Amino acid sequence: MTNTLRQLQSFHIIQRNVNNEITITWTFPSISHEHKIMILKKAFMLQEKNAFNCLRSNDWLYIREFEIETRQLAVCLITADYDPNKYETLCNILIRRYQKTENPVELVKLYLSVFTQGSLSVQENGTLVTHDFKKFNSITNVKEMIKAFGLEIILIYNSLLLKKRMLVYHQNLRKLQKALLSISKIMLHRNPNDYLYPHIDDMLDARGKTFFVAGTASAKPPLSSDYYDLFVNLSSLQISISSHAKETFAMNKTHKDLAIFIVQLAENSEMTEQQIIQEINVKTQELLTNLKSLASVKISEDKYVITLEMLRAKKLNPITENFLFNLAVAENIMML
Amino acid sequence: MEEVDNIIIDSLRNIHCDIDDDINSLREFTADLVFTAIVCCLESITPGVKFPHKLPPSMSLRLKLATNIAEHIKELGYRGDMGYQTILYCNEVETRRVLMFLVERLPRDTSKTTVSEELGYVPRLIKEIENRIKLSFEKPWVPNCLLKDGMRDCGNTQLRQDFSHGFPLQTENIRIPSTQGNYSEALKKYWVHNLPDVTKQCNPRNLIPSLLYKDSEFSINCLNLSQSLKVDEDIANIDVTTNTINETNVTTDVSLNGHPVEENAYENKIQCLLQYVNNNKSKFKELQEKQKILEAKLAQVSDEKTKKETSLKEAIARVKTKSKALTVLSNEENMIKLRNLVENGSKRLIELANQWNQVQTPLLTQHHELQQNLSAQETKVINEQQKLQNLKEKNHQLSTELKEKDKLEQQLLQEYEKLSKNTNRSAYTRRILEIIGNIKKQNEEIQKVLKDTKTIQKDINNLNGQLDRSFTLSDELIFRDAKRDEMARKAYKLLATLHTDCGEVVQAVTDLGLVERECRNLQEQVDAELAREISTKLERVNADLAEVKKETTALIKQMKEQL
Repeated sequence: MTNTLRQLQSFHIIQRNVNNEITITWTFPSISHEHKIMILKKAFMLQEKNAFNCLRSNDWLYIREFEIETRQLAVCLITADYDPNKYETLCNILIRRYQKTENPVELVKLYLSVFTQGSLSVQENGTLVTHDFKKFNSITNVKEMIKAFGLEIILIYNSLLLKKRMLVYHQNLRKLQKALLSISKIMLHRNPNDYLYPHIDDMLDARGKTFFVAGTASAKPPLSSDYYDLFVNLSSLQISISSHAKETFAMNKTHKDLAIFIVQLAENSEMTEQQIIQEINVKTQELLTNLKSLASVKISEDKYVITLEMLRAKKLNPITENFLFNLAVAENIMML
Repeated sequence: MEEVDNIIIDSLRNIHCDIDDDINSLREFTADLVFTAIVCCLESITPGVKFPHKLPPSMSLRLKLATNIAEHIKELGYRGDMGYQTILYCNEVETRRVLMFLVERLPRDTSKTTVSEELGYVPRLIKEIENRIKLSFEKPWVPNCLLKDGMRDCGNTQLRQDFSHGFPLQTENIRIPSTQGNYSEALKKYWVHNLPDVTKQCNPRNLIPSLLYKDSEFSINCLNLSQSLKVDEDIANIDVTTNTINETNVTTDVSLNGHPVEENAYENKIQCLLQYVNNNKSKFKELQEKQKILEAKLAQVSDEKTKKETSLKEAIARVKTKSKALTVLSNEENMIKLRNLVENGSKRLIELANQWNQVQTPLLTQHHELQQNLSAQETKVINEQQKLQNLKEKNHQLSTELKEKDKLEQQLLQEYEKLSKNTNRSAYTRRILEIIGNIKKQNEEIQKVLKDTKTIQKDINNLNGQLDRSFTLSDELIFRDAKRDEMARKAYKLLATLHTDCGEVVQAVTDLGLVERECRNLQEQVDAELAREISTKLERVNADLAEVKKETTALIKQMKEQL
């Protein structure tokens, strides 16, 4: 859990006029040109009322729409990390305060307290409620997802592990975002900043990248299948592998064991989400330590790499060899 | 009828038919005049066909012509009775009908369009080409060797007929600076300062061909040089010298055409020099490659060194700051100070935010209002623009209509002026209205008469019915009495005879009426037959036949005499 104190960058209040003109009525502390353009373009892109949207353009934008007496407004938070639940609660708090007082300065106070101290206290229904943002537990639905996909969950796991390109689809943006959050929790040692794009609708965002998890809500995938390796259809719960990536997703015994283990975790009704995530993480770390034990060639001070000859010397199953090779490349311990 | 005749005679005069001014009605038309009139009409209706304007004296020819013309008139669509007799033995009524038919068919005067002279370059050019070609067709053919320089005089223009009078191009050797390859400074100096202009180096007539030749010669020369020498860019001097040597050699070769021995000596020299040059070049290349590799390695190593230095610096800086922060943080007072600082900072920020808000909100509201005004005005502008557009369209429409109406008015005015003023239109219209009135009256009278006859017929039927009923009634009554009374029997018989006699009387009256009707019909038929005048026609036909026979016998006699 990254420290909130360093991640918050700015917040903005946006208003939409009768003739669909969007104006940013309040910003604190400042706004860059790129962000401005992005907000003006996409602030009210969701058609539903009181929507919460999460966008990406090097930083994370969290936009929450609300209404005050037929006026359409939105609050936008710009941060450097990915934690939609936390920021959604923060947005809600800000909105409630604004609906009460309509004074942006109050919001500045709230924002500053979160920024400096990592928590804030709000009067709600007469009692003082304190929200601590330093340790915020996100609500995920990993269990649900594992149950829904069954053994195929290993494909998603594999794609994250080997740093492949995944495209996730669901026509409901909210469910899509929830699913993306869960997916990001499956592999804890990968930073979502590197790979997660919650919403893409044109090819340019993700075309040049070799490792991404992208979400889309349009029925026609905005990318042709050359550009992604794995396609996860959440509404029909189907995962399909692109034809050119079939070799990389070949499975062996370790994968099967992992898959069975994960499914068992999900079926265990006593396990909470956190525990499931921790267990998966433990397994992943085991796999990685196994791999690192193979690395014996030392190139520099503390960097050990595996060479191709060593891998071949093990005389493993070709699928396993391939898998270990890809994993080593992904973890940057492969000597090419 | 007089007006109709006037119309016909006027229109005949309009198509240049010779009619005497005395003649005012069709009754005064002779057979000749009728013929000429019909012929004039036909000629103007069907412009291609020509007819003689007067009837020839001989009977057979007359008959032939008349039948010919009658056929033409029938072809035009005339429905009435048409034959040679209508032309030669003219009846006023029939001639009137025929001439009316022909006059209706006369073509209207079409305005003559003037041939507009077409301006413009292309039509003029085309016309010129046409004229030229016509001219060349008119002239008789002359062999090309007799023409001077291939040109032929035709009045004020000259026609070029022979295109083979060119002469071959002649070239001279001109010196041009070359842009390919490096040359010595001395050579360049010479080119810049001393070399005379190309226009002064040769005859102006031969300038273009020699330039073209030089261009092709240069490219060929360059190819040969590059193949034989493998020119390298770095070795400039050697190149220049070899180039100049080769050039001078080539030029000397070209000029000294009959000296093969000297050529060989030169060639040997060239070969030795070439070998030496090649060896040096290969050595130089190897050294260059080595140098490149070493330079690249040097660059890599220096890059690594700088990277490592920067990372080292960064690490040192970080360590310093961390140690400082640690020392500061370990002190409790400092923590309190920091917290105070942070609080003060945030308070200040809040103050600033307040101030900013105060400044901003009125401006925002103003902005909103202005935007709303702007959008309202924009909609207004759009409406106004649409209205303007509509008005413009209407204006345009009305102006086009106005123009058309003006044109029409002018046209009609012109036509009205063209119409001859002889014809008295009001008289015609009066006459026509009178006739219409008469016809209406007659129609009314006919309707009255019909009504009367109907009522009379009804009365007759009624009376007949009454009679029958009264007879049957009285018959019954008396018959009943007749069985008993003698007088009644007599009365019955008398009644019966009365009835039959009256019936006969009625029958006689109806027969009388029928017979009178038949008489009237027959009388009408007789009148019609008389009008036909068949007897006179028969006499005429017989007379014609006799004349034709006379003429044929005369012609046969003439032929026999000639034979």
